[in-house]
Amino acid sequence: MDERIRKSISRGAWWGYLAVVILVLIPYLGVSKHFINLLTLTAILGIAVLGMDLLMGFTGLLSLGQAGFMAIGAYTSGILAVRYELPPLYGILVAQALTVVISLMIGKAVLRLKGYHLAIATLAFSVIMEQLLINSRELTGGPSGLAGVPFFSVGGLSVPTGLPLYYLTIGLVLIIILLFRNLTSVRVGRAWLAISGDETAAAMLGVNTSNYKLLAFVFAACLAALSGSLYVHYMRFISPDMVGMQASINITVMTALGGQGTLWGPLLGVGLLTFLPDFVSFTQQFQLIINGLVLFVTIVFFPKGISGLFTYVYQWIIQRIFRLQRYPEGGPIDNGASHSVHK
Amino acid sequence: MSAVWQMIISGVTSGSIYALVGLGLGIIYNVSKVINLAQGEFLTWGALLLISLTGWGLPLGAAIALAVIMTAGIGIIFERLAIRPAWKSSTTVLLIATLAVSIVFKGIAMIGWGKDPLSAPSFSGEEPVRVGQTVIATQVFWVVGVLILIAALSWYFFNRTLAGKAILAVSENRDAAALVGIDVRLSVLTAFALSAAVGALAGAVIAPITFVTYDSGTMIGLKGFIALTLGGMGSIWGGIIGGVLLGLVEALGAGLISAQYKDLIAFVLLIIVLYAKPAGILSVSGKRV
Repeated sequence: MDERIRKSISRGAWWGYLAVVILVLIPYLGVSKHFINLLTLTAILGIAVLGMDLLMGFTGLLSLGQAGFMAIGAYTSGILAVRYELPPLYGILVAQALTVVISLMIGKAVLRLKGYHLAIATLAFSVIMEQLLINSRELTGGPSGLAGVPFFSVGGLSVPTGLPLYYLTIGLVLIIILLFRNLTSVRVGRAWLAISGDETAAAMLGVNTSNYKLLAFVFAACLAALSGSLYVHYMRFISPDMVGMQASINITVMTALGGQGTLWGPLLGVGLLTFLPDFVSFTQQFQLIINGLVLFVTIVFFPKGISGLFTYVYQWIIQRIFRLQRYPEGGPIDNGASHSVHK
Repeated sequence: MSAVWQMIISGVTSGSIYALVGLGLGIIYNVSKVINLAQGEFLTWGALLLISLTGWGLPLGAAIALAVIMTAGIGIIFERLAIRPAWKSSTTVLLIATLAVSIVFKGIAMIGWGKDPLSAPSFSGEEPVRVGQTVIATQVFWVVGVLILIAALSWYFFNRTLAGKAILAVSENRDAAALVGIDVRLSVLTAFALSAAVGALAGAVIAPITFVTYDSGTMIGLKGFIALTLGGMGSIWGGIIGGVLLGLVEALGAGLISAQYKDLIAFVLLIIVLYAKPAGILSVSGKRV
């Protein structure tokens, strides 16, 4: 077999293509509408989680406040659509602009902190956002939320929740993955990885660490806000607790659960947490316990998350079939970025 | 003026609880570098166990003692089953592992005690004490008394006993402590047991003045985390100072500005302190985390 193809199979690139084909065809395989909606939700939350992966997995910054930026996206889009009847794309644009400004300010203030301090500072930001949303009733509808948000639309063409929004969102996720997967071939990607490896060493080598950290923070915030904007049009309703503290924690948990720094892992993490309640809902009483145990076992025994487990099993099989050498640090999308961050 | 005194009393009461949670978090953090997101659960379990035990007719003293001992046992099991397997993991993994444990604890509490809010009768009767115009519920004395007692006991334990000094040594430098023959594992285990006991005692004394549900622990655990961050994570005492301060600021903010903004004020205070003094208000200036 051609060496290039061998390598590609071993690295699992074709898994990605297979996944895309399945995701495109799945609506025609007789799955329920509910299933498609859950996949759409996975893709929407996936956008925020990809941003989180950039922040946590690539740059090594632990944030517990991403839903705060989701809230900016969701409420900006929601309010502009409901109160001012502007088209959704305007909502997204305004939300993105607002997010850049706010995340620059927050980032400047909190990014000199590290580890737990950074985690609690970002969590505080998320709680503050939630409280502000609860308390500005005239604008946001307060704790009871903002209802009557229209479907997403592009240039007058409606993209209702269901198949159209499904294809739009998985398309977006795909674009983001394609943008990120060759991150190490550009300067900024290498700078981020250097920071996650050893910030002091990176600074000594001439990387302007604070600027690159700020850039990663703003980028992740913008993706979270985009996710929020789509979320509000998907749900057609938004309340503060949907993008509050718990949502923030969930985003971080999903990223770590899936396997940070791999892009596709965190998406699996979102999928698991979106679909799990459906699978275990028959055990109503034990649902919390099962959720907690699944989370615990995955994160403690497979610190690289679900993706680490998959990679291990996959390479074990491939090794048996093709008698190939194993790539010790590699995930299917391996560009050296898939190492986990130990801080 | 009496309104302000009323606020201060309510602030000191909730501040004492935050202080006890912060102290528990601080003990665990210093020894093991783990931020235990399940700390609030110890408090919930202490309160719920007390409510059940007194409900079964146990005398108050025995019920408190039993609730504290049982929760300390839970702390030991928690350390053995959850922290040891994850011992060598990264910050993120440990943080999420304790979060997972807190979800399991909530699940068990939900099955055991249901979803309805529960409360216990006041320890020394429902009749409040009046000082001038200020009304003080008798339970407030219990809460503040427990904080003072625990603070004094902690001081004695960490400064005068071998086990306490061993824990401090492990906090300073784990490897050096191991070199001089201190059992690091045992110290960590002791820290978890103590921390759980402190949490349970805090839960027991607030059971009469608040409603407890299976998921009460989340917010109170988070407030404890804020308390510890405010005071400074590097010190066992950071949590106590930070907790009382947090309670006072919250109560005065809620009373003087608006009750709606109570949580907002707490978190804004946190951001300001983190910005100005990242190592906490107890830190020596110039020292960075």
